[in-house]
Formats: sequence, C-alpha cells, structure tokens
Amino acid sequence: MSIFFEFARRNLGRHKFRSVLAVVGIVIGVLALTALGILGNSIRLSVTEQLYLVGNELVVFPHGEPLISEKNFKTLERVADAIPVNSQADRAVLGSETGAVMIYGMRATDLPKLLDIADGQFFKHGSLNCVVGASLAAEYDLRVGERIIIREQKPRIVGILKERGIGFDINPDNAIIISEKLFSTLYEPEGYDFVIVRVEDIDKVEAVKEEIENRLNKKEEVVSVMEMKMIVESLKEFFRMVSVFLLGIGSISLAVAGVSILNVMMMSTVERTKEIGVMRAIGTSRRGILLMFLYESLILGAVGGVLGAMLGFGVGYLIDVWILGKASYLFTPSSVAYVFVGIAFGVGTSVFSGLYPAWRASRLKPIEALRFE
Amino acid sequence: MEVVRLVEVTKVYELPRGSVKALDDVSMSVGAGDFVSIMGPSGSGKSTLLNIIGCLDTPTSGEVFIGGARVSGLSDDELTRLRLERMGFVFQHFNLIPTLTALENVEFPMLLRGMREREAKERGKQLLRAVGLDEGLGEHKPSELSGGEQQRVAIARALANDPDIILADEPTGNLDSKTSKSIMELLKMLNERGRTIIVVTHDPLVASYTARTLKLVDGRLVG
Repeated sequence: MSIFFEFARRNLGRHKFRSVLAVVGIVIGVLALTALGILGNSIRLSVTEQLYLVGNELVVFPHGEPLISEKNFKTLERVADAIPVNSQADRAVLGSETGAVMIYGMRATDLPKLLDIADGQFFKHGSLNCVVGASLAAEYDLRVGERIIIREQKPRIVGILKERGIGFDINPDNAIIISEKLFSTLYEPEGYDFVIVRVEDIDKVEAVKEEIENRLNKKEEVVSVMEMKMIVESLKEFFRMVSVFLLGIGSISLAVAGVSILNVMMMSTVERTKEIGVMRAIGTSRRGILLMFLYESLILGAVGGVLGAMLGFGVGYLIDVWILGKASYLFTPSSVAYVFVGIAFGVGTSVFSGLYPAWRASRLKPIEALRFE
Repeated sequence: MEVVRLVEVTKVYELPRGSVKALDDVSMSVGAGDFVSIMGPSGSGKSTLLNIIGCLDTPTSGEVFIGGARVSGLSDDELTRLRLERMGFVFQHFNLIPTLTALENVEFPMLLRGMREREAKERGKQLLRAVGLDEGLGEHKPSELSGGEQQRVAIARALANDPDIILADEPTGNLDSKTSKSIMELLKMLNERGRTIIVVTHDPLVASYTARTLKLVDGRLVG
C-alpha cells in the first residue's frame, strides 16, 4: 500500500474523536439510505405480490349505459378474444352462515382462461353449479360437494379456485362464480357488466384498444377501455417514486454527513499547513499530498459506509418485520443491492467531500506553508 | 565543481503597502565541498536567499543554476524532484513529521524516491547511527525526543537521498548552546567527509564553524 495511505491512517488517528464523529455522520447517512431503500423495495415487492397483473388484458366497461349490449359484445368478439362477465353483490347462505358476497356470471369455456382450480373442477356449460374463491372457501369452511343458497337457487360447489390476488378485472378470491345461465335465471341481466379482452401479443394491446374504440365509440362513447398494461406501468412508476422519495430522505442525511467530512478535512488542511509545507519542501509531490487527503476521506467513507450498510440492513430487517410482518423480502437481490448502494454512496459522498480540501492542500505553496505558524 | 550558482538574483515581494526588495542583485557561487554560512540581521533577506537556493522559491529576476542546470522554467513537479534528489533541508524548528517515528522520518524521502522499504529501513538505521543517535531512539515519535535529538534526526533525514547540498536555516536557533555546539560539530564532520553545506544564521558562533561567510544587508551581499 502506498505510504500516503499509511499517512492518512495515522493522521486520522491523531484526532480520534473527530474522526469517529465524521464516521458516525456517514454511518447515519448510509444507514438511512440503506434501510429506506430496503423498505421501499420491500413495500413494492409485497404489494406487487398481492396483485394479479396481466399486461395483455383490456377491460371494457359500459359508458353512459349500465351494461354492454349483446350487439356490442359481438363486435368486441370480432376484434379479439373477449370474455363477457356479469357481476352482482348479493347475500348468500354459505355453510351455516349468511354473508354478503360477490357473484360473477361467466361462460364455462372462459373459466380456464382466467382461473386455476385448486380442488374439484370447473362447472360445465349451462351448469347450475358453482365454483368458489379460495379465501371465501377458507372463511366459511366450504367443501366441494356442499350446496350454497343464493335467493331460491341452491348451486353445488364443484370446485375451489386457487388464490389469485387482487385484480383489476375480477376478484375471484372472495367470490362465487356461476354460469351465464344461472346468472340469467337469478338476475335477468340485459347485457354484460364488463368484458375482459385478452390480446395475444402484448405489443398489440394499444392497437386493439384503438380498434375497439373506433368500432364501438363511433357516434357516441358507449364503452371505456381500461388498459391493464397502463395500470402495471403506473404502479411501477408509483413505486419508483416511493423509492426515489425514500432514497431522497436518506440522501439528505448523507449530504449532511458529507458537509461534516468537508468541515473535518478543511480543519485538517489548515492545522497541518506547516506539515504540508515540510513534506513539500523535502520532496513530496502535489499528487502525494492530494492522495494523502483523499485516502483520509476514503477511509472515513469506507469505514462509515460498511458499518452503516450493515446497520441499515439490520434496521431494514426490523422495519420489514414491523411494517410488513415478515422479512422474506429482505433477502431478495433487489433488497440486498441497497447494501452495496449504501456503501457506494457513503464512500462516494466522503471522497467527493474530500476533493476540495485535498486539492487545496496540494496547491499550497511550500514556501508559504512552511512560514505558517 | 560548482554546485550552486546565482546570477544577478533579485527577489521582490509585492505587499499591500508597496513592494519590498528582499534580494537585490545577488550573485554568488558555492563549490562542491564548501561549508558556507550566510549571515545578516533579521529581514536582511537571508532566508529568502536560502529558499531560492533550495528551489522553494523563485527569483523575480536573475538566474539560478543547480549543478550547472538552469532552474528557471522548471515545473512544480520538476522542482519537487530536484529538492527530493539533490537537496537536504534542516530547519530551525526541526519540522519532523509528528505521525512518523524517528526512523520513519529518515526513511520517508527514500520511499518517496522509490527505494524499497527494507533497503530504506537499513539505510535509515545507518544514518541515525551516523548522526550519533542510539538505535533504540529510532522507534520514538519526535515528541518523545529532545530538541538536539530531533535535530539529529532531521539531519539524518536531510542526508537520506545523498543530496548535493545541505541547506540549514538557523539549525541551532532552538537549541541551548551546548547542544548547538554538538550539532555544529556534526555538520562540520559531515563537511569534512565531503558534504556541501550552506547555513543561514545570525549567530557568529555558528558562522565560526564554516569556512566561508557571506554577509547580507538589506538584500545585498557585502564584503
């Protein structure tokens, strides 16, 4: 290692208390940055994990009218793979209890396109049976084979669905899904509440959306098309903003630490003016002086950065457990990355803050520095 | 052989109250193996003269030659190299580096020059012995040494890169008379072994050790 590194090490040891305070500043800054970075990332992971997001889906809602007419649905079907959905909130007898529940009416052929079965099977076309969502089944302890009661109908549960998460199209986890035929018998709808359109190629989503609007909203607007891709994008954007905001808060404390390093280094250069003069006189180059001071800020930054990042990871763990109730998001690469981001920013801030003092020290004229008392 | 040659050197300091002529048309030369003292009252310009010879300062006009080579026009890096390789400095306040041990202070210029650590350590020990310091003192920090011991370390440091000239600015200025004598004896001994030494002083006793004395009054050489 260079002799100037050794100089730097010993110089920091001369004012231990001052060096420790400077390191503490960096530790706090890096800790905040790392912990908040991990928090932001964990929130993102935990929310997206609970969401059911498919980029290649469009959801078509009626606009101005309560339902999408059969005629308009036929038009949609010509554009792409269209899945008509009816929905109705109603009370139902589930096991021994009665509860409010969402009821979807869907075609039997569409079920496998959107849902997975956990137990039993899907109902057949025109069936009077039903399938129920995972959460609903768990909540009311529903089994395959049992009957539930909706108004005067008593559909039998033939299947229990796999958990899917919160969606922007349908939310089957807490719902009962029945066939189109049963739904018509119960509620006699004259159209559909919304239509899910699935586009094969995700890059053609925009084009399909445009075509739907062109065909249906020719004279007046009768449908509005919600683009799942856009929701995915805006969610990503939202979490990016959350991360930037949290990192911003972390950066502020790191900036404060940077100022304290700058202060410490400026004090050192002034105190050691004469010594710098001696070193220059006996043959130390400007570069040597510059290196010596940069190494000092590098050591402060590296020590503070590593300590801060380790503490930040620990604090990130506590926050995750406290806010999200579990620490599993902590050990994902995108969370662990913040440890290294923290170290890098700690070292970077410190060295950056040391640049000006080091440069100033290296530019001292030996003769003037020697005269300094 | 000529080690130092100054030709019509003038140094003017621009101060807020007006310019001050610290050196006025000074021409001189120092040959290899000379032991020269520069005397004069304070403010006579003797330190300025020493700094110009030591390439720490540059003249306003005139030329400086070190070992026959012209100094003016050299870059900061080149001047630094020149000081490292050809000059040895001894200061009034010893000016050892406080974070380094006595031995490390002596090693430092050798390491700067790129010598290997082991070699530098060996030579450093030799030099400390040569200036009359006990082996054990090498591991001490400057603050643990007496003034005389510190100045011996400083002289050893000045000798580290086997310089052409040793420049000493009031080397005994901070020492009692007994220690002063022993330091001058040491410099005299080094001169007798062939070192070129230039000492700035206002102490006639110090000057009495040297073979030649230059007197400086108001920036001019007299006599």
